[in-house]
Amino acid sequence: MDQDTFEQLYRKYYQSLCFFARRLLNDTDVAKELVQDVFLKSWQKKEGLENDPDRVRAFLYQSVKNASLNYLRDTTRRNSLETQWASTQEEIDPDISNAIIEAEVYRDVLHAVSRLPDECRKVIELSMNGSKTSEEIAELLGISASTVRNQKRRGLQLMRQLLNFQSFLVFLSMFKQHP
Amino acid sequence: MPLFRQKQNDGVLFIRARPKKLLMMNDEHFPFHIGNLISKELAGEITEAEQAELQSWIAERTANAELFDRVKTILEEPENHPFGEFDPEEGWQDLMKRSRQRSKLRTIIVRVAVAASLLGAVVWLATLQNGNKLPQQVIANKKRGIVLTGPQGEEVVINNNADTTFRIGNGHVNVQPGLLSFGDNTKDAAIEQFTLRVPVENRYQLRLPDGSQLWLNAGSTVRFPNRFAANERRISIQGEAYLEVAQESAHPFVVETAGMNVTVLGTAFNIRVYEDVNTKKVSLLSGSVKVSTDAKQVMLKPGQEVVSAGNTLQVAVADMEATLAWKDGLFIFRSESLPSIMEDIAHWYGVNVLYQGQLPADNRLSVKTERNIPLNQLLSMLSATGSASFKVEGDKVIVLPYNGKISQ
Repeated sequence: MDQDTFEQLYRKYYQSLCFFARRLLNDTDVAKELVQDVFLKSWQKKEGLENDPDRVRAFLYQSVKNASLNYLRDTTRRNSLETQWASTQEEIDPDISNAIIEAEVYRDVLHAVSRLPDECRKVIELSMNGSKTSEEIAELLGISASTVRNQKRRGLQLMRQLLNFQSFLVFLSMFKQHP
Repeated sequence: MPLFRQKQNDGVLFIRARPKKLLMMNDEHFPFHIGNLISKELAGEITEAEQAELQSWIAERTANAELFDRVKTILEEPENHPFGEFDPEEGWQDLMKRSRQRSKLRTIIVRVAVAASLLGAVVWLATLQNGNKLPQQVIANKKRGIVLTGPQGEEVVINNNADTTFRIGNGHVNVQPGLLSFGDNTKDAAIEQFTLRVPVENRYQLRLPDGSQLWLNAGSTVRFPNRFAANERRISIQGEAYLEVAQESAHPFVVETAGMNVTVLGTAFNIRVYEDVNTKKVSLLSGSVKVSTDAKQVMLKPGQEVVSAGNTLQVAVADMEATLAWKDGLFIFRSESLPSIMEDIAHWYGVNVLYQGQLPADNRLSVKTERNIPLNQLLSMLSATGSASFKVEGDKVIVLPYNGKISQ
């Protein structure tokens, strides 16, 4: 795997892996740190980065899961889930499985967001990331609240279409040349 | 080629290619399968069989039903789902920094290859003399990876992931993943010229002796010294490069190309001067540059670009995002003509483009995709717009009038 491919892989999974790790750890900063570690190690040791994208994905989630469990074990924080997870590390724990499912749905949604036209994307990102109201976004972007609501509606509609094709590589549109 | 499903929707075409898979519950891929079903449900694109599968999963555990309830409203109330606060850009920069600190890989291959450098010289001369020599040049590049050539013709093949330092001529080289920094080997060493060449389907970053940064696109070459002369900084470029020039107003920075020079005083700009294309283009991101041919010269303002054909210079507003997309490994075309898209494809994949028959004249296409997409897949997608059909024969791509076939 060359660096470009690795970078694409990173950009594809960074957010959802962080989200997944945070579900397990309940700590945003530690989640980020562990995800960076997993990427760095697999890149430097060239481990788990194969050509089969499905296996790479499974490997990344598995690695983040192990890193998270190790972290919980190494720190004094004990919580009820830990013992439960420790005993089921080899099988697929339903709670961990659910955390992956949620992270993956969010990954699809974020991918759809990234493909939106710029104006829509800004509005949608602001409402998702900062939980901002249309009025707050309007003020931030210097446009009217009704424009924000329109962009948001349009963006959400487009996202539904974009979600249909999670693996699509290209978004094509055709224009007639303007006179 | 996998099967394609297309959907025409307000003039917008979506394409996908993915085989379906059936999974068992205990498979490690199972969560991904369920996640996929939920995304399909959100999109309103789920089949009856998939719906039944999803419902049985939801009914299995309370936690599953809760999860589904939580995510099913994303597209109605995105504000209740703050999951986008992890910034991949920030993360990537941080990762690169860490990787440079820790990596001790030494995987560079150094070789002094007399035979290869002779071949290179022949190919290089041929390219200079004869207008349309992209294929030959490209075949040579395809075999050789990123190559640094020293003053004696000694060649070093740079591994993109290497992390090491070495000497070449009077130059001192530090290689990190994706980046090569160049400087003097000893103080007051004689000035020598070096060449860095990037092959097709690749890009690379070079840090010049004055600290200026240069990104080279596929099939491009830069010639530069181990140390700049006292009065000015001068390099020459063939192909496409993006430069961030270090501010040194006492030492103008000059980029030479055949028939056009760019003079710089601290600035960031993109230059596109492929030898097989008649037009040259300089796009300015910040600062100011002077572009001159034998007959004319213009000063550019940030956000402007100048196109030179022959001796004329035409200034226009630049689409910087599309112009610099190559730096981020993307193709971005906004309302571009097919020939201009094909020009980029030719340079990136190292193919020769031929046209057969009459194509619609007023066709404009917009495309955004990762550059690592295989050539035939990109062509299939272009032809799916109904603009043209394509045939690939070895290193040639033949553009034909649209004949209803998605790919051949």
